[in-house]
Amino acid sequence: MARLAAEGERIEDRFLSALSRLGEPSTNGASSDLVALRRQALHSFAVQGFPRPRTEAWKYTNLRSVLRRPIARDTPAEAAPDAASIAKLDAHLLVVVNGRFSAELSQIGPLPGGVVLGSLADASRTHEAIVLDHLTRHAGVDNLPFVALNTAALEDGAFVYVPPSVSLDRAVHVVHVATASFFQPRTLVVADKGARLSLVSTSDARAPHASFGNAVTEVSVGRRAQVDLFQVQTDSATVSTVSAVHVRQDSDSRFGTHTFTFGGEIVRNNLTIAADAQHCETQLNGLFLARGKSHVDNHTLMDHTMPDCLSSELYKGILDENATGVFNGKVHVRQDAQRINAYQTSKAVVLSRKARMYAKPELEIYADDVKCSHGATTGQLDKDALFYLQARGLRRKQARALLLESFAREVIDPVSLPALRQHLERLVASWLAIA
Amino acid sequence: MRPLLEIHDLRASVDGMPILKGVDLAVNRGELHAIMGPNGSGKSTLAAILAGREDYDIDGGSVLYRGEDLLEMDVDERAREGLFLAFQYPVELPGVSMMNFLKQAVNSVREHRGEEPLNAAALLRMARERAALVGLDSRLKQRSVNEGFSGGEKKRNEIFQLAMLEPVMAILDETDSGLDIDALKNVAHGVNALRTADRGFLVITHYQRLLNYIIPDFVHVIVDGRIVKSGGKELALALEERGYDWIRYEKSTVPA
Repeated sequence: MARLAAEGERIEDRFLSALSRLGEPSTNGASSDLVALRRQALHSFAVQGFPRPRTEAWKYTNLRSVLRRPIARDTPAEAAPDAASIAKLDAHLLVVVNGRFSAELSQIGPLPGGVVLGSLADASRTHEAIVLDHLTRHAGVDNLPFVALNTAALEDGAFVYVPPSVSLDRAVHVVHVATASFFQPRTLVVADKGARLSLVSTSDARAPHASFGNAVTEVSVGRRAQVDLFQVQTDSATVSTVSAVHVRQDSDSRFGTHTFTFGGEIVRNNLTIAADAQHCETQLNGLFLARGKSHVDNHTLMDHTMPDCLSSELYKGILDENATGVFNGKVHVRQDAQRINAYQTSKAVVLSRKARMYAKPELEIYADDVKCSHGATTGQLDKDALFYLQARGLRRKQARALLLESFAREVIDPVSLPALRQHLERLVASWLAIA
Repeated sequence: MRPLLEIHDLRASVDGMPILKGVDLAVNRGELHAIMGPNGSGKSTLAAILAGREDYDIDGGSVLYRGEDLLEMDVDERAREGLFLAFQYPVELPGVSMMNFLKQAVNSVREHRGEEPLNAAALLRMARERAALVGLDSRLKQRSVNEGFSGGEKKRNEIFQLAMLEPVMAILDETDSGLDIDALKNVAHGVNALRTADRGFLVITHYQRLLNYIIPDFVHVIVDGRIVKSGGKELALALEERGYDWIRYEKSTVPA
């Protein structure tokens, strides 16, 4: 059942009524604090509304056509998460279906003492203090309408907690399965002092109908903690998503984010990292391969508020047919953040006449003792390189694939999980094989 | 038996400007021909056209390779048919590992010849053996193709690839340029080791120096888009002594 927008109706109102139709999030067992957070977020969303076409941060990505679509009333049957599984990846599996944690589909092995993996709703009761310390603390709702919309309906999601000095040797794999026409996954990750964690998040929505996902992930990286977040997006061309990842790093911590996008209709990834203490190290890597009418927008903010930190960012894209890529990477070095090293590079290869790439690197520096650099290049495949390979007997298609694979490898090589690295190599190879 | 490579009255231009003005040349199996000439005479254009670069307009003439129309073949088809060009300026391929590159190149050619593809171990063994032939540091095989290679290493790498691909007809485009004497000897040693009774060579060079180490069967002098003089190895020495001007004056009277 779908409801078409009445003429003149604000699209925000349709989302508000969709939320109320889905029912006021259950207050049963939820703390009054959580209920208050939701109310506040709902109010904030109603006031902000969705970004206007002129909003600078959304200049190249217009979601109006996606948001204007009807929101189906029914949620189709749950799908098994086969497609998102990664061969030979030794990981605790957390399956989230349409934003809700599924205990039946998840497979969580024996855990070191104190580690919590599972439902965010459960955790808000069993580990209320941790949840309230972090939930919505990293992803604020002001000026972030999509975060506000997600928070307004916040009920469940995935929760990961690693206590002080615990290294989780097996990775955690959060599989997002979506069958609804509107879904809002939420993930909260807390790595306490000295904890270590690798988190893989895959979304492989294959809805036969048009759908929209609005995901929020919050990550807290404690003192001396080390967290790697790998996101693999292979949604079908009917699925549009806005995905916000908000990270806060404490002193001497290391955080790496690796975002791989192979599909989707309109994909907007908002990545916001606050290096909020001294001696933080941050790696921001991304790779996007887009064809058809796919539109992939990576919007990153590296916020250095404190001195003696290092951040290094590399985003690469391959665009074919009518696809559009956007990279907007901002590095913000605040006044007190002296002795920062911040590097940023974005590179894109455009394979067709109609494909487009918009790259907008931004450095905003208020400290005087810093080393920062950025560079953005967009171009076609090197003709001389193609000729050289063909002159050695490689067919044109094979030569092209070899060059593009090599281009992508720079982002795949730093992936520390071998099974995931191989999975990504396969995804790249099969993407290239279609061309 | 017909020649391996037959070039008849080949004429070519760039943006309407004639570069080759009627080149005739025949290379038989087992022969090594040197083409010499001053800068801008069309030497490298000839090599580029034979390898299949599309920056030139063919205005006339023909090139037969093993009796087939070479100019009708795609670049990669020529390579698989056994034509090899050692580049004057080898291209750097960042991120493309040498071994992956070699595997794909060697197996493309092998498949075309109806041979089994080489597995990783066999390829590595072959690569080790052939790298030694040209004195290519085997550690370079761990790197990306030509990336960060010195000028000499790049040229050795070209001859190394020649050794790996075992072509029928090899064209060396100014392989000696930018080489110090040791690298020159290495490269020459590699080429000499690869001279066989059924392989043809076309060695393009500006200087006679290379021909002290690679002794040609024939030497051709190209000036202003035409071969104006042909002879044996002694012609190269005469050029070294007397320069190209001597030929320029003679060219109206000496059809090759």
